[in-house]
Amino acid sequence: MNKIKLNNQKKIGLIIIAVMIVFVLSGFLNRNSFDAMNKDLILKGSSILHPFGCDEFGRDILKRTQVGMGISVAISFFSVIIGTFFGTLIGALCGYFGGIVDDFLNAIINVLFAVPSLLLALVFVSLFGSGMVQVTVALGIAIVPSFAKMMRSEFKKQRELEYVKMAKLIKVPTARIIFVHILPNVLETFLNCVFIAFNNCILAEAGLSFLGIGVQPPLASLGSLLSDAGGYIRSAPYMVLFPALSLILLLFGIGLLSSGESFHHAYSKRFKD
Amino acid sequence: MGKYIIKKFILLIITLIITSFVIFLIFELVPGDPVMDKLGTRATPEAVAALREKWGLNQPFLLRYFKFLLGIFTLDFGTSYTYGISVASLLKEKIIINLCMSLMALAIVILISFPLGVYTAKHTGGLSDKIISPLNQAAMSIPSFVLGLLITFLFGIVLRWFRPGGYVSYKTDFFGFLYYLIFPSFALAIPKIAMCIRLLKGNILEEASKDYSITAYARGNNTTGLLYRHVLKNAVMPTVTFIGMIAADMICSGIVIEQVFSVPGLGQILINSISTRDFPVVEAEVLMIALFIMVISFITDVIHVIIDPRVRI
Repeated sequence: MNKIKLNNQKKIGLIIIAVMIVFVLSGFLNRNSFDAMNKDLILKGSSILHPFGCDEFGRDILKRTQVGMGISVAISFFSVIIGTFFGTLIGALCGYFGGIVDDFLNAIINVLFAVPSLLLALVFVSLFGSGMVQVTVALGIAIVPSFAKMMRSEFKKQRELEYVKMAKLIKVPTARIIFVHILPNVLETFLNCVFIAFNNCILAEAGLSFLGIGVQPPLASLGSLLSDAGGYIRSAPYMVLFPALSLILLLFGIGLLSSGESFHHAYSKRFKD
Repeated sequence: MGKYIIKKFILLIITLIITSFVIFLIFELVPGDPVMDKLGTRATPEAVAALREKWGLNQPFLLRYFKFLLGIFTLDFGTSYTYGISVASLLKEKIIINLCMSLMALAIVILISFPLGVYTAKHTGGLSDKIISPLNQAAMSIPSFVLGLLITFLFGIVLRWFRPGGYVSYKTDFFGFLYYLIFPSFALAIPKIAMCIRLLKGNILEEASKDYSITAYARGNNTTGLLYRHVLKNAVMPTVTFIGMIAADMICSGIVIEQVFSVPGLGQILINSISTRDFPVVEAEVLMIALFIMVISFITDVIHVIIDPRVRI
């Protein structure tokens, strides 16, 4: 993996992500509790003890942002794992085998693909109730169609290549062809998909929590922090500012990391070496 | 061309039927009985039976599905469980609001991103490009509801251009209604503008390095002529597809943006009916949004045919 060369954009992206990770982890050093209310501190602005200020219950916003970001990232992380697993599996099987099953699954994927993931997640939550686990599963399912679509077209392309035909000829087991032979060759698309999916998950999670459907109080996520803060935007604009800034910075970092085609370059370079 | 459009239209109808079936099936399989939810545990069997009769729940599954499917054409989606009035009358007003907001946002995206995209592509590496590209990257990573909050703060509270939460119904004051919707529309549009500019610029640069562009140069075209007469037509195609996707996405982001600007649109009623498990409303609304998305993709296909004759084959 050390052959992957990063361009400047990705370097900045990595640095931002690293800073965000440190920011979240430093939450463990922050002695303020995320749900301890204090009526003396209600809607107090920034101070040395509470650099981000305090919310309408006198809770420390810095700590809540750290916890909230941790939760947002954790939810997105697990949803991406769920979505990636099933998306890759369905896409790989469809693309590799083709046939009636492919036609059938592809029709369903196309229908689901037409429905935006936020709506899918909303429907799912409406069926199974709101909460952290439900949102994780809902987002995971919501990203399956787009993932399956991408992987399917990649596998379709790879299937026709010489090395797959050779592997079939010498009777390599099918599962091995799919996961050991083809998968590393589509890694570039795969990684880009993962980053984009992660980005979308953070966005969708924030959106759902903003609507009050995701993480339930007293726990916080970036979306619910912003939704709480929205009501106090007149009297305490800093309540919006800090969570919003950290959310934007996080998305900015992931965006930089997923944009551009340097993964492609890194891999095409590998063949030249 | 007519044949292609008819083919796409038939495909649209088939997708619509599949989607409506999936939506209906999902809500059918949900655990829990809406009748018991409404009446509570102490309901008498007679009351339960009467309500079942009233909501039409004791008819067979397929019959109810066909009623639901016909509802798309007759605009009759049954009665809301919570409000007791017909779903269509509940949603009619909301759809107008959301349609206005999305169309306005779409118009903003097209009006701003096309000229800017072409301009940055033409002046790649110049000063404007160096200013716009990082701005683009930043704008893309701001979620639209955060942008909505920032717009509320800047234009609503600091500059006082509009009153936050002061939504006016289109029935009382149509221009006031449009004016209020400008702000949520911008919140919806700005991230999409950034994506559009980037895509358009990339496509123009890609097309400009192809053989036919070099030939056009050799024939004596200058950069401007090449750009407008040859490259642009080809480069616009993926952007048209993308704008179709944006339109679909806007209805969804609109759900969140509505909450920020307290616009009583589709989103508010969707969230309410989800929390009260008012399934006829949720079903009808999800179907409406899906239908909207499908129609948009149909229109995108038609525009493709008009711009690019090769698609017809």
